[in-house]
Amino acid sequence: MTSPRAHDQSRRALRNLSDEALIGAMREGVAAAWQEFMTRFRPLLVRYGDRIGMDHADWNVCVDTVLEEAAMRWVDGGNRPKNMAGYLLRAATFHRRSMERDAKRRAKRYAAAAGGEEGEGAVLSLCSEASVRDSYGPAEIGQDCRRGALERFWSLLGESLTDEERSVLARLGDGLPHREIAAELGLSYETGRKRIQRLCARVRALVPQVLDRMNATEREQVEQFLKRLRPAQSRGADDVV
Amino acid sequence: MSSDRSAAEALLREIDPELLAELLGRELTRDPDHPIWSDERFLFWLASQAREEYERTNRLSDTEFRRCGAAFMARAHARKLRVAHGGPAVHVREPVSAREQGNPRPVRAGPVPMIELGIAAGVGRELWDEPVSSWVEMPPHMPPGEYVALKIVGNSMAPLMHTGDTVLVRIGADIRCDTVIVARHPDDGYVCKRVRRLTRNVIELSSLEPGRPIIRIPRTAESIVGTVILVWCRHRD
Repeated sequence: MTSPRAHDQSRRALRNLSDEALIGAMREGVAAAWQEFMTRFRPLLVRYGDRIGMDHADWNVCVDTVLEEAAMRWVDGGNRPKNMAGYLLRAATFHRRSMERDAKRRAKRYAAAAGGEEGEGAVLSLCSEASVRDSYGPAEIGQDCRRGALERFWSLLGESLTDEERSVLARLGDGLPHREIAAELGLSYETGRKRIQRLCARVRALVPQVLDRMNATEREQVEQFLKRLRPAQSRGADDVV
Repeated sequence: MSSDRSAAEALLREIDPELLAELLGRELTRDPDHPIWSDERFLFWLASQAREEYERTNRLSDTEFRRCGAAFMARAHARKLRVAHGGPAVHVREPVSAREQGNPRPVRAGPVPMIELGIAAGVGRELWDEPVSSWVEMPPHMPPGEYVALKIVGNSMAPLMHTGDTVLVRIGADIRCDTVIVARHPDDGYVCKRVRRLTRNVIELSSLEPGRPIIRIPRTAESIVGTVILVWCRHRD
């Protein structure tokens, strides 16, 4: 058992560590080193917020978010800036600005919805794409792609696609960006993007044979789905892929 | 030497921030984009001033200091691994509809069944053969899905979870990197680990505690129970 004196000394030793060495101690899972990181940078960020006249509650949220994200990134071996304090101030300021932009965008949507849009359109205009997607939950992704005509489309594609390829197609159909699909597959963005492009090309080649075997209504539904698989440049510039 | 240093520190304490900024050839403004806010010397001085004031008003004992550090570490890990981190689980009475069922079933809403199978050490037992030990309250605003609550055994995922904590698992084989999942290890029963890497056929799982081995399991629907989305941690107030 260590004495209280020894604890005090180790705490003082942590205080004298350089920022780089402190991150090293955090990587070893020393709880006191994490608190030292917090004590070293949080009061600075709070005082900076006071100086530039930030709202306390909002600013504290930004500070905690930035400190937690930066600590994890640096502990995991991410690039560390030489001037960590300066970096954290900038990061917290950018985070605050991003929150302000989001709030303005939301307010604009509320105003537009209150001005006449009704029903589902109004609801969708109030929710971000990400929150709509989150509300489905991962288990539900691609559910609409497995219904009715699309179910038949999948079965006609038959064994030419693997389960994983079908799941990628379902995600594409739901409008998930390539980057997220690649992350889910555990691939780098570039590898994931190439794999998705090859898969789309294969499906496009198979489509004419499959569509010939479907009736008009089914074909229309499948074509709606296939529109989402078109390459990015042939769609609007706003599409996120 | 030390008296010189303390004298210098005492002198520094008396310097006004406006004056120090002026000495550094800058002006102290409320503009967040002004270069003074990236001057390393000024920030070092301001950080030490702010820290002194903070420590004067928040005197933490060594134990409290470590406890706060552990809490910060847990929050940072939870943010990265997209796991909500809550206080102790709220246990509720068994719902009437569940009394006639035999084995536990994952639920979509209402109280969640908790299974007391040690998910880091349940060798050779089937998750769904275990009796429901208690029921816990489902937190509000959860995304749709099927849920089950499980008890953690072992500290390999500290500081995020500890022995005795309860985790809320969303059932499904749809997993992604940098999340925490409950998986079935072919030899060691059920494990709760971080997804380190995914390949076409293999899932690489790692612990949060340094020095633990990496586990590789086949990427099949049978080997994945689901994704941990919330930890009810007894260590958190």
